[in-house]
Amino acid sequence: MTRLQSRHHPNMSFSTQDLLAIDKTISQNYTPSSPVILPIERLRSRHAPQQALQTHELLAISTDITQRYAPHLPTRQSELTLVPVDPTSVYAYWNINSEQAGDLVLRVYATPASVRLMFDVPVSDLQNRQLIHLPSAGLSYAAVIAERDADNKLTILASADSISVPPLYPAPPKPTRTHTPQSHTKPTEVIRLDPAQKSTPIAIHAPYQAHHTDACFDYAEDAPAFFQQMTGSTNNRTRHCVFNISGLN
Amino acid sequence: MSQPKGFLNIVLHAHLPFVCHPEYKHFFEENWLFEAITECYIPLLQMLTRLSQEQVKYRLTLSLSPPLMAMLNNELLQTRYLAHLHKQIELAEKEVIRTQGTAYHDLAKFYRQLYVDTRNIYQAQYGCDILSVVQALQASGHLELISSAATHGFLPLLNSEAAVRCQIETGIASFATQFGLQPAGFWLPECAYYPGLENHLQRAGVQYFFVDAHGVEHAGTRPRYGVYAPLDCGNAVLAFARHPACSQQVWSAGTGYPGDALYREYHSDIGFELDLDYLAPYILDEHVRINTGIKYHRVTGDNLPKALYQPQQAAAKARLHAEDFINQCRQHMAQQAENMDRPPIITTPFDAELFGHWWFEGPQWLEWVLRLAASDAGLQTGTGSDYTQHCTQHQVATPSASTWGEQGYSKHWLNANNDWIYPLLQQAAADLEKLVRALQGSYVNPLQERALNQALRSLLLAQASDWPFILQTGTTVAYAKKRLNDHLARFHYLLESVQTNAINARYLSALEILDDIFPAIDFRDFQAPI
Repeated sequence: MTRLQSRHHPNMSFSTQDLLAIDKTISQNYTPSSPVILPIERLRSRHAPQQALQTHELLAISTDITQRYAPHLPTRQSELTLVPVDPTSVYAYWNINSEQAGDLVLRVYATPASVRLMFDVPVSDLQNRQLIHLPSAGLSYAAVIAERDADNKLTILASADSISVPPLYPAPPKPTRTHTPQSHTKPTEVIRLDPAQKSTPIAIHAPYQAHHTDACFDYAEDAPAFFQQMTGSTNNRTRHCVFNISGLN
Repeated sequence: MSQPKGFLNIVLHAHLPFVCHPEYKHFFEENWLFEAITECYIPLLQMLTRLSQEQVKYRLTLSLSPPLMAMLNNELLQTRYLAHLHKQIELAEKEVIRTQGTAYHDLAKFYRQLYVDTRNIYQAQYGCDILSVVQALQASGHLELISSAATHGFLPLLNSEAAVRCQIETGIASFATQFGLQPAGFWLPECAYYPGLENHLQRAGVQYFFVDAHGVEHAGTRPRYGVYAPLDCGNAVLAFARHPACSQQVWSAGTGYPGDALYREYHSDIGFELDLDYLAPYILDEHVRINTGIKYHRVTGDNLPKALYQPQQAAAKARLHAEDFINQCRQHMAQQAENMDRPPIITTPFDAELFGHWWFEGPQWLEWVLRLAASDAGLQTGTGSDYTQHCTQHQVATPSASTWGEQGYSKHWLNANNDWIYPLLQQAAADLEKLVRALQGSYVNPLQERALNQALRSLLLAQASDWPFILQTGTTVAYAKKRLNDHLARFHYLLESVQTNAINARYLSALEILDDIFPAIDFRDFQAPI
């Protein structure tokens, strides 16, 4: 069989089949592909194909609309919304359509009312949203935003529907098992109320179904004794609340 | 039929936000799609097709988000992808020349071949139609395709029943239009579930969905079989739980397989290593360094100089990791099977884009997992639908609110970096719902109808979970803000133009071109279920 050599590299020879194979590989791999002609100059809406627009027109229209219609919240009726974030926090955002003379207060309470868990979060009239740390997981919470006057009276400006936050732990294996508040053998959930939140627990009541707190105190009077009993600390400014998660057996 | 000892349900969720900018000649963020096609979708589909041709028995669940499907079908993006590949081949050619006589030369040739092959497959073999290949694998019984929400909205935070309903039903309608079938399964974006969501899913004809492990473990009633069996949410819609240990093997950046020293290092890219002058035609605006996709190093190890990537060694490791994965699954199943009256199911959902893009060897690992599972007597790959054919009775309990995100809840999508978007989204949804209600029974002329449909497209695009995710991760924050502002502005413009009877047909056409998604959407569907 005839073998062919490159005049530039004579010590390498090729058969006709070799050359055909190489040629085929190169053609296959390096033939310029056709549809790379860019850009498409005129574009049409599939809903109104008679209207053609050019790229620069699209950009101009897009820019014009974004400039003129920048998103904002119109001042309408006052409203408050709660959104669950995780078992121990919710987000509140609100829109207040009135001038306030007093301080704004966000009052959060567990539902149903029989749970008797409520606390206030002071908020500024410059804010319109706040992350709220919750003292207990697996409950439902509602909230109101109110104005506090000089006499400490609250005037409700807007209220939020009740939302539920998920539990931190699995449900008890036997749901009918009775709750034993004195048993501290199972995981103890330590919830640290964020000092930055400056919330004021008003009342925390127990026992509620299976997962919830066995603490019950009015913050101002009972809390120091409660903290001392649960933590051995006499420092009631830590705002650390310890709750036993009972019923998890 | 003999009862399998256990099902391995591998779920790949393929999603990218809708990024298509016909108003620009080039747009950097469109590269997200192009990189995913080259590194993930084509390698995965080639591998799955190869297995089916070799008659390897496997079943895999694939979720395709509607924005991804819309982009894969978009002719402008198809054309731009070919142009992108052309540039990749050109750069790889330059690299083959530049690296001559160095240790990098073989890898440079490897990349050149990869891009050339990709172009041939995409253009000649697939006819630029990736979804037709997906559909063929579904028709041959290898894939179970499932749907997802319209624009991957983070459903628990939408705070609007109309918006949640529309996200779900529009997603399913897009799927049905594309594939001509109703999906049995539904991928909740970010596995984000809240009690009550199952009612929307049931109404839309969905039979099952996925939650993270604690979604089932913390259910209202303690699950008898933990994550190894689905829960019936009380309305015959099933929730399958992610298996934490097996998923962790693939997900974890620290302890998972992808961090192995032999695998390719994602963060070592010539886009950040070579001279700017040399790279200029292949980077952003000819001066901003970006990933080019050409990476010469392997993970190597902490505090060590990066060593040369060796594809064969990495491939061998992928096989070992696949064996380890199957062994672990088998062990978990064997432990559980003793205490169960039904075969356990291990559900391992992953982002499809992990495979090939972030974890270059991911498709090879998955190929070995499927091959090994096919020849394993005690384990079989199976989907949610396969499992429900074997087991028809399920424990009834309501899953707990949960996501698969950081710490298992919504914090990543709702925090100080992105909280400002939710009042805006909620207000827009309320405005549209109110208008739709007001128009009920009224005549709406064709131009108004187009404007209202386009307003709904704008709102859906603003609701994508990708924007708060990006705002939190801090990667392309300016782009996420731009998209949110653009879509909400377009929404308000359109609503006002309808309300004031001042619709500008030219502007409307422009918006239809800019946000060309959900062609068959009907604004009347934006209402809370009765």
